[in-house]
Parts: sequence; C-alpha cells; structure tokens
Amino acid sequence: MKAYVKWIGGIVSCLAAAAVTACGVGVAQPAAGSETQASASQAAPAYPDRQIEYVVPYSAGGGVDLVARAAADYLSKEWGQPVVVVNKPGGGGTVGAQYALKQAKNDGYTALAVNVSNTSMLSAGMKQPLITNADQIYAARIGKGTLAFAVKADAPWKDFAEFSQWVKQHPEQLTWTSVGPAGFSAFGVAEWMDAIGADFSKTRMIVTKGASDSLPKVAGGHAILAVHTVGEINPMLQAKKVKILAVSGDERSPFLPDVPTAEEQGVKGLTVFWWTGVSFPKGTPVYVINKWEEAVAKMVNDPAFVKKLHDMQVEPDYADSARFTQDVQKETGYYVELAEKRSMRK
Amino acid sequence: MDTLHLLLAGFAQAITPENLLMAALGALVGTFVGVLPGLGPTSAISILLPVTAVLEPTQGIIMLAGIYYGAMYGGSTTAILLNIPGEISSVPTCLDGYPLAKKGKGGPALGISAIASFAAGILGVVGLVCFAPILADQALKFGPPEYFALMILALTLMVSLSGGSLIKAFLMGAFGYTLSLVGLGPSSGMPRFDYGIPLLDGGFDMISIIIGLFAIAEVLKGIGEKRLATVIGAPGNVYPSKSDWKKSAAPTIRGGLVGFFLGLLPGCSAAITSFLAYDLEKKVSKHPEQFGKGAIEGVAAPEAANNATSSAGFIPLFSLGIPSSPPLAILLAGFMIYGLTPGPVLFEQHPAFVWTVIASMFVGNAMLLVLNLPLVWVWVKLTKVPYGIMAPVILMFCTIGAYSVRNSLFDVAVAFAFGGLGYLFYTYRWPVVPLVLCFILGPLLEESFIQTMVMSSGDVAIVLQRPISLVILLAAAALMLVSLALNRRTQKRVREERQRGADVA
Amino acid sequence: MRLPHNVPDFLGAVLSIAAGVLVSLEAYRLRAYSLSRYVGDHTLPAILGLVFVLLGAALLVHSFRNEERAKAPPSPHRTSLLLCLALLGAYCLLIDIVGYLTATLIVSAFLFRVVGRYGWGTAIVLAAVLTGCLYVVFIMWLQISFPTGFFL
Repeated sequence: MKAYVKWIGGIVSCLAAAAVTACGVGVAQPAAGSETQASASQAAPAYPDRQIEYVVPYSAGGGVDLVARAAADYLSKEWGQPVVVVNKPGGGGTVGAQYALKQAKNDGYTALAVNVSNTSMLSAGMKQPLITNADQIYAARIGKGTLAFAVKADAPWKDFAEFSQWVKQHPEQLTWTSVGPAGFSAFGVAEWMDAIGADFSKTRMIVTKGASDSLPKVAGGHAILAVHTVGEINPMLQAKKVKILAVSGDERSPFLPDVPTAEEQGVKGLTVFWWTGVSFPKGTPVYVINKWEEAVAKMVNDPAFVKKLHDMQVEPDYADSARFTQDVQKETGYYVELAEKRSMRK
Repeated sequence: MDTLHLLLAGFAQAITPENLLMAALGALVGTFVGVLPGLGPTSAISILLPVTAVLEPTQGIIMLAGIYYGAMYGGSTTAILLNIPGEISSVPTCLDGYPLAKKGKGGPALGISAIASFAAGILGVVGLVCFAPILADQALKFGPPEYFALMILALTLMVSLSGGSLIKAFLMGAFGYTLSLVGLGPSSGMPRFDYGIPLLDGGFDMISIIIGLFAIAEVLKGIGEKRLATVIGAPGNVYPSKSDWKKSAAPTIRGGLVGFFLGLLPGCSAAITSFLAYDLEKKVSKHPEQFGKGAIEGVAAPEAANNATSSAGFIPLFSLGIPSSPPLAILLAGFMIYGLTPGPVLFEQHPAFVWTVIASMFVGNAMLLVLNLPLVWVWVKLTKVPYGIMAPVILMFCTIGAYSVRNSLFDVAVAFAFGGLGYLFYTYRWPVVPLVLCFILGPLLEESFIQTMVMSSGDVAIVLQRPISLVILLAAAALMLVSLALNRRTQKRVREERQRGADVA
Repeated sequence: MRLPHNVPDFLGAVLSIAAGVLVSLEAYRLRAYSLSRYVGDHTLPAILGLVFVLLGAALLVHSFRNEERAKAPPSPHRTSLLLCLALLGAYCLLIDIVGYLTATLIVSAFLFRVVGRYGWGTAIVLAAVLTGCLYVVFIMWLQISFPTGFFL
C-alpha cells in the first residue's frame, strides 16, 4: 500500500516538474482568451462565445498556414475569444477539409482555411472530387499570391519570350515540376502552353512534394522549370540559385518590381493565381458569415496584419462572401475546361 | 575570419543570462517531453511550437533549437530504458540499448548516448559553421537518379536487420512499403489502397505506426508477461567504464561522419542515417553477432549519427530553406511564424540573429550534457515505478503523441491497431524493424524512381550513366555481398541465442 | 493431408499470398492512371504484389519443412491483454462521443484496474490524478485542441 502511494507521489511530482518548466513560458503568454463574454452587440446571438477551431488542411509553415495563423492572431484579439489554428494535413488538403466541412458541426465554431488547390483545382482534377463548392459557404477571401516562372540561375534564356520560343520548338525537352497532374503548377503550365501554342502533351512533368522539394531540383539542373508563388521561390531567388523569367497576371508583383509580367513579354492570357480565404460547412448561420466578413474586411486594413502578409509575400485581397463565391465558381468552370482539354481530369 | 568574428559576437549574445536561460529551458522542456514515452521530437516540437510563439524571435528560436536537441535526447532515453523510440531515428538505438538496459547496463548506455550525441552534435555544428555555403551547393547536385541509387543502398540494410529469417524480413519490408503507398499516388494524384474510405486518403502517419509497433506493443508484452517493474535488472553506474569509452570512441566518430554528410542531403533524414551508421558499425565490428544483444557500439554509432544529422540538417535549412526531416519541417514552420524566411538572405540580412542561434546550439549541446549526465539516474529511477501504474500512463501519453502530430483521432486508432499487430509480430518472431525502414524509404524510393524515369524519358540506364549514382550503386552491391556473408555467419549464433529467449527481433 | 510443422508461419504465408493478390489487383486498377506502361503509381505495387506472392510461397514450403516449432505464446494473461486492447478500441470511440477528458478518466480507471489489479477506489483515484495532470500540462499550458465530444 505504502509503496505505490509513494510512487504516485513520484509521478505527480515528476509531471508537476515538467509542468512547472512549461509554465515558465505558459504564464508569460498574454491571456488571449480572456473571459470577457462576447460583447452583446447585435440582435443576432452572441458569436463567438467560446473557442473557434480554425482548421488548416496542410502542415504548419506553408502559405495557407501562415496566413491563417496571422488571421487567427488578429481575430482572437478582435473578438476576445481564442481562435485556434489546428493543422490536419494529408490527402492534398482533402482530409482536413472533410473534417471541417462534413464531420464538424455547422455552428460556426469550426472554420476551414481554403485555397485554390483544395477547391477549384480539386474539382477540376477529379471527376468525383471529395469536396466540392456545394459543400461549403465561402465566407471571405483574405489574400492572394502571384505566380512566377523560375528556371536555373545560369539557364540560357534571357527572358520569358525567348524561353517560350524555345519551348514551342522543343516541347519534348521541357521538364517541369508539380505536386501532381492537377496541381497548382500544372494549371499554370497548361495555361501558358495554350497561350503560346506549344504542345503540352509532349512536355514532361516531374512530380515533387512541393516548392521546398522542386526548387532544389531546378537549381541543380534536374528539372527545367518550376512554377510557384513569388513567396515560395523567394529564398532560392535570393540565394541566386534560380531566376524568375516572368510573373503571371495583369501587373507586376509588388515584391518583384523588376520582373516583367508575361503579358509585357508578349504572352497573353495567363490568369492562374494563388489565393487563400476561409469557408464554413453548408448550413452555417448567416450571422456567422457576416461576422467573419466584417472582421476580415477590417483585418486587411490593419497595418500590423498587412505587414505580416508582406513578410510572407502575400498580397491582401479581401472579397466578401458573395463575390468570393462567384469568383471561385467562375474559376472552377475555367479550370475544369482547361483540365478536360488536356485530359488532366480523372 | 569574418565568420569567426561573427561567431564570437554570436557567443556574446548567446551567453547573456536571458538567452542562456532560454536555451536551458528549451533543452529541459524538450527532454521532459521527449522522455515521456510515446512523445518524440516531432510531437514535442509541434506541441511546444505555439508556446514559444509568444517570445521574441531570437529567444524563441533559441528555445526551439533547445527543444529540438532535448527532445532528440529524451527520445533516446525511452528507447534505451523502455524499448520505446519516440521517433524512427531512435529505433536503431533500441536494438542494442534495450538489451543493455535489461542486462543492467542501462546507466552506461544512457551515458554513452549522451556523450556520443554531444560529440556528434558539436561536430555537426562545427561543420555548419565552416562549410555551410559550400556544402549546400554540393547537395544540389543530388538529383532523382542519385536519390534512387541511395534508396537502393538503404534497401540492402534489410538483410542485416533481418534478425532471423530472411524471408520473413523481406515480407515485413514489403508490408512496410505497402503501408507507405496508402494515400494519394504521387504521379497521378489519385487515391490508392483507400477502398473508398476517405480517411485513408491522407495515408498513415509514421509516428503513429512507430508508437503502435514499439510503445504500445511493448506495454502489451509487459502485460502478457505480467511484468512487475518497468525494467528488469539494476541500472548500474551512469558513468561509462573505461572499456565502454574505448569501445565507443571510434563508432561515435564514424557515426558522426556518416550522419553529418548524409544529413546534408535534403530528404535524407536522421531515420535513414542512424540505420546506416548502425549497419556500418555492425559490418566493421569484429563481433557482429554481439549486435542486437547489447553492444555498446550499437548505441554510440546511431546516437552520434542521429545528432550529427540533426545539426547537419540546419545547413540546407539555413542556407536554402529546405527542411530535411519532419521535426526540422516543424522548426521551419517556427521560423516562418516569426516572419523569418530561412535562406542565404537570412545570413545577409540578420547575421546577428543567425550566429546567435548557431552559438546557442553549442551552448545548448553543452547544456544538455551537463543537465543530462546527472539527470540520468532520475530517468533510471523512473523505471522502478510499478508496472501497473506505468503501463496505463504510457498508453495515455502514446495517445497524445499519436494525436498531436496531425490532430487526428484516426492516427490514434492506427497506433492502437499497430500495437496489437506489433504484439502478434513479436510473439511469432516477425521482425518489425524492416517494416519501419521500408515504410520510411517507400515514398522516397517511389518518387525518385518516377522522377528518374521522367527525366530520362523512360530509360533506366541514366542511373548508371551519372557518376555519383553509379558509385552509390556499386557501393550498394558491395554492401549486399558483405551483408549476405555476415548474415550467414551470424545466423547460427542468432539461432542459438534465440533458444535462450533473447529479443532479436 | 499433412499438417504444417509451423502453423503460425503457415498462416503468415497464406496471409502474405492473399496480400500479394490484393496489392496486385490494386496495381492493375492503377495502371489506368499511369504515365507509361512501366512507370507510374502502379509500378511499386506491381513489384510488391510479386514479392508477396513469391516470398509467401517460399515461406509456405518452409513451414512444412521447418523442424523448429514456434513455441506457443506464453500467455497466462491473455485475457487481460485482450481486455486491454478492447479498452483501447473503446477509448478511440469514447473520445469522439464524450470528449477527451471524460474518456481518459473512464478508460484509465479501467486500465489501472485491469493492468495494475488495483481496487476500484485506488484505480479511480489514480485515474483522476492522471487525467488532472494531463489536463493541466497538455490542455491548459500547451493548448492542444482535443475533441470535446458530441455534447458540447
């Protein structure tokens, strides 16, 4: 009897020791979720009156995750309730999305971080996608990123026009990286091939795990072209291991004012871009969506938040629920068409 | 010269009382969490990441680095004392560490592991200081064919890790590969082996499989044997004897070198290098049959490789922004959350910050040694807790460990299921180590194969045409022959030992 | 009909061959999405299918020849072992239904009872202490977000 009582004591004190060390840090933390109940503002039920789970369907540290964390930080302070980022990676973003949209309750206390690859590109890449636009209510778009075409730093092409010309003549020599046939890069390349009239089917796709895997391959000369957002390419660009030939879109990226757009170099119609926002399962009450719209609209004008986005080279780009939904649907239609033409849809 | 100057400035920063405190706190907290059975470095960093987010960047990163090293060390402690690795990289440590603990030499094993880790950690950090930019460039020369050849080389390890039956070892390896295939196919993006269950699309997480096969299976074994204490046998003296020192000096250096150079390659994680170091040691040893039964060299080499890889991993991380292992990926997330993008820009724009962090790695490593050698007896005491209390506590920690990696209950269920399976494997002598090895190699092998074939438009000969990959392949062939010869020689001995009921698998 | 000497190995061999067939079927299905005939998501599964069948067959032959009989598992405590596994299974379900804390309290009480053979009173006290510690460390300080259960 006595012996194990002693041991319980032992375990408790051991745990307590671990706890105390952790506590040294824990206490220093400003009580983000101070107990002030949501101020009774509108006639609608007080929201949020407890912790909100903000599901990021990717691992920590990626673009979607960083934006979500910055947003969660801001919203926790704004609402006086903790908004907690929960990473549920896997299955190219579908596992977390299924959790947030189909398994969780639609009471507004589970939000999903969405981006272009687990929404419109997912629908375009598969005939029976696990998650569709009909499963969710797009609440607000937060930011966007420009697409950039990167090649090895000492590659022979001096600009995008020359590169496009070469690809048109030698499509069989082009290797490009992507996370899969329906990945972000694949759509960027397919659209570009369309625009310059090169034969997409002759080029070769090298499947990689993502930007941190594909850029070293381009820098080492194992693949020719990588297509990613400006922020993802930045470290290798600064290391002078790769160079960016062009960015897509109507105007130059604010982060790379010296790099011309594809359009300036005579390649028109490149529209693929990266965006991220927040969505809720269908049937979520309207007052929740309104509250988020309102808060995100305010957030993208907050200097501290904008600075955080700038640091990760993401441009703030707010859209309310109606416009966001419309944009995503339009984009989905366009990608489905693009994918079908290239028989990328399976 | 400039580097040295910066490093000294870094040291001046690192030993300010505040930063010193952060390093100590990080190392301590990391060790505490890492030492909890079932919680390894990946879980520890992902759990503690949000906690450090309230600090200012320099202190936060110093603390994270401390946590990283501490958790690595803590993971080895449970691997040696309880046969519960917190991370795949600690699996080779179990192979000899646990038999040593059972023999009552747990103390020296822990001591050697701390010293080997320290020595290799310092070696790694020195390498980081001297060669970071040059080595990062060399690492880029490794393309898909080279990785493919490297995976073939790693595949030959299966023979020497087989324990008893080669057939069973290869079958388990095939099972491991198959498990790693579940999820989205790399080249098509279509789900494989999911049989219409969306949960399987995310694949299996390696941490939950490790926790199941080792930690939970170990608890079940204990229950099956109606164990009373957590470890049988007295722990013995913490400080290694002279002969232990002598035996482990060379393995530490060899392990450190293997770990450091392979650790430079992005994607070559500590899991792979520690296995390779263990295998190398077994091959150069005069008594290969001792391995798996408590050879102190078998603890020193993988521990050294493990820690050297962890330090070397900072080179691609700092200079190119590429994480080479799961814990480093989470550490990278930490950098990003602070708004610091690793890469050469970091060296140029925030030199003070980078060198402070590097200097604090020295400090952290030293701190770990100072903290851990005296603390070893605490861990050893812990193993005297009655099994009836320890077992449920371990199971609860395992649950948290499996859950926290992806915040998924599915992973917890997988861990429990593999616990049951692991017990069956143990009972019927199917070796689990090949399964684990193939589970980590699987995705890399497949990806590099597909990439190689695309690069060469479907011609396998490319692997033979490139010098680096050719050399690796030749080395693989040579190793295979040596392994087979060694295997035959030890087979007989192993069978004899098995009759006495030693844990070979 | 002669019985195999080593029944567990025999069963393992049969299971391996079955796994080989399953994997091969999946490889065949995946061929539709492949890049070319030999390269794609089906390559490794196809090789593995073959390996499973061949090695399974080898083990099958071996299990008839092998002199060495696998000794029966020393299992005087098989009931508590199975009970423990069942408890873990129940734990997974319970976390989803009643939330992490309640489930941990209930299951760890049972585990202390089954594994440690403590009386109910002691087991419940131990479980309460353990759950309390886990709550303080992991939920309060480290802020892991666990499932709260169906009712909240």
